Amino acid sequence: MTRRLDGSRTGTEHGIAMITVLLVVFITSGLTAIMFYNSLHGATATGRNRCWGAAVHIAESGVNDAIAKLQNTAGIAPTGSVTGDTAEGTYEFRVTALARNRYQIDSVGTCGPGGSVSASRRLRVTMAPPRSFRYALFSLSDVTTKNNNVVCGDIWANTFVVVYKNDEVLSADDPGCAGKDTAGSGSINAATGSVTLQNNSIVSGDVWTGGYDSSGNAVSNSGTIGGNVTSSSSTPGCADDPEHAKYDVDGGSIGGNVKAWGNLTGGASVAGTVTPFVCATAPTPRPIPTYTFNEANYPPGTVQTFASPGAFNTYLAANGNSLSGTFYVEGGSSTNAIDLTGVKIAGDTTIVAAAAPIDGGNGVGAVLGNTDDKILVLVSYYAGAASSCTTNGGNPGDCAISFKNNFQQSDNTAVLLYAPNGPVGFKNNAEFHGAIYANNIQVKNNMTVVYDPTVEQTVGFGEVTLDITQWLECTPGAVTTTGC
Amino acid sequence: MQLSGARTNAAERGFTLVELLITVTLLLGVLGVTMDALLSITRSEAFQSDRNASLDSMRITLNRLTKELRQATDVSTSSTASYLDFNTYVNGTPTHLTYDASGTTLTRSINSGTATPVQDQLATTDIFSYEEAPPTPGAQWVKIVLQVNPKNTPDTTLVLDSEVNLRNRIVQ
Repeated sequence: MTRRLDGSRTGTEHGIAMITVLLVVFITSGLTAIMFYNSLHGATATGRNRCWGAAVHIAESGVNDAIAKLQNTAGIAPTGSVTGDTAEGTYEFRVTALARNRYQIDSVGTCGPGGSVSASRRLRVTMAPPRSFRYALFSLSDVTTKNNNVVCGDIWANTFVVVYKNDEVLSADDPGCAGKDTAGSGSINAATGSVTLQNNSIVSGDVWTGGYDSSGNAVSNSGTIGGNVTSSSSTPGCADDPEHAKYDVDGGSIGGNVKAWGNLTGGASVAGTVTPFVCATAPTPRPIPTYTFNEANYPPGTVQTFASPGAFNTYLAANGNSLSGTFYVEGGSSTNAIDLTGVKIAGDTTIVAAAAPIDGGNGVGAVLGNTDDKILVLVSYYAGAASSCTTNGGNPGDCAISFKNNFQQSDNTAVLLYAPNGPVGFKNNAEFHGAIYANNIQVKNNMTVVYDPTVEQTVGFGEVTLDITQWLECTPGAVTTTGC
Repeated sequence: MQLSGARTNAAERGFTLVELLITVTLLLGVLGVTMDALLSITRSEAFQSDRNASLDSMRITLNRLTKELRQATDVSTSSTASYLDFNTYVNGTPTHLTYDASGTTLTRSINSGTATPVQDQLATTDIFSYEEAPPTPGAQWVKIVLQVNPKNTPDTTLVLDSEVNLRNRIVQ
């Protein structure tokens, strides 16, 4: 027979069950709390991470809103800070108009309801004319330098380049370009043609070709090349010369490597490796940046239009000793040119010749004592014959833009010469700061051409009026136009 | 027959052996189940905590990488799947950065300075891949795939990825 409990407990047994229950409850509660914490932490971290990513997009919405407002107002920046919202959060932006058609947009995007899940990010975007001019010399056809010239910067030609004896193409950090506030690597690109370096000429950067000369040489080198040489064919797959009869790299001294579809010939001295008979990619010919004349791009009240070069020359006779502003000149011909002889530049100046050649004659200078940074932009759509410009080099009507004798601005004036239809010729003992973009370029007689990055982003040039040229994320904080 | 000293009070009567065996067996069973559950919960919590810690670290690393890459002006041609070399801006200041994955650690170096570990427990050093925007040569997009094995659960691999468009890249 078994005995049964009667359910009664003695006094000494009281509390054991309670302690056990409390212990279990305590442990369970602890574990549950930890699980809840982990779960909550995971959810919070995920939420905040999501908000962190969203905040930058919200701030970009503010930037886009600012750009839209600039477009709607033709460049008039909204006053003060502007707020807006998206489905993800709110933004606040401020637009600051800078010199030469540049705008600074500061935008803060905030995501989340506040607290630990929220995130805020701050952007600073700079809008400016697109980067259009990066070469010292850019030609839709060829570039020829003659007689003791120095180019600080890079050269691009869609056909061939000839560097005459004693000429130099130097990088910005070369001692020959020291202190000139320039940029570039001293390279030469000949997209579909060859590069010729005559005796004692120097190219401090790379040489890249896509064609060959009458001797079959891609590079005819009687000088010194400091960088690499790449000789390739502009025909896809180098199919035009399967026997490697052309595209040679001939003679001279080369400081870098050589890669050629042809061979190394003429006793060329190469410091680096030589890889003959390899089909590298050739430079792709480039279009000249487009220019669109739009009065809205220039400060109000500074644009003047003239019906003919004669009318503009009359204006220059009266006002040319202190010129600034934007001038659009209609008409013109080989015998009816714009004459800038003796003109002195006082501030940013743009001269657009719809059909006339622009002649510098005996030089354009700066107003005496004027040390302000200035840009002189000369645009000519005149289509002169390159041969005339080459032969005569600088007489009115020979070139689309021609300068000779002392076309020397002060170092604080950057000059952009733009002639998409005709040649540009300038010569004789001057130092030029800026860039030349033309159908053809002739440089002669002791010229120093220094690329000036000031002209890289010039209003009116490029596919768009303004482009985002810098995109920065600053430390989170309120919208401010200073400090990043 | 009655043993001498037998209790006469019902409240003082003990348990039978069978009762004790059943009780102990049941208690052991309950204890076993409870302990198993507790151990399971403890392991799960440790795993979850470890996973959270790894994810936190990965998110911080990935967010910093994407933030810095988004502002980059160029990615060096010396960059590989485990090595990223680029010029960018940090708080508006031009800065040269490198990220180097070696072994199980990802390090970051500012302006060629000392490399600082930013992520450990890497499952692989193949982190970066690059995409061009023809015809312009050079990387325009950088894809980042961060794979990490949490410390206490090396058989688990956490993966976070992102693809970044270089906003300040200067096209030559």
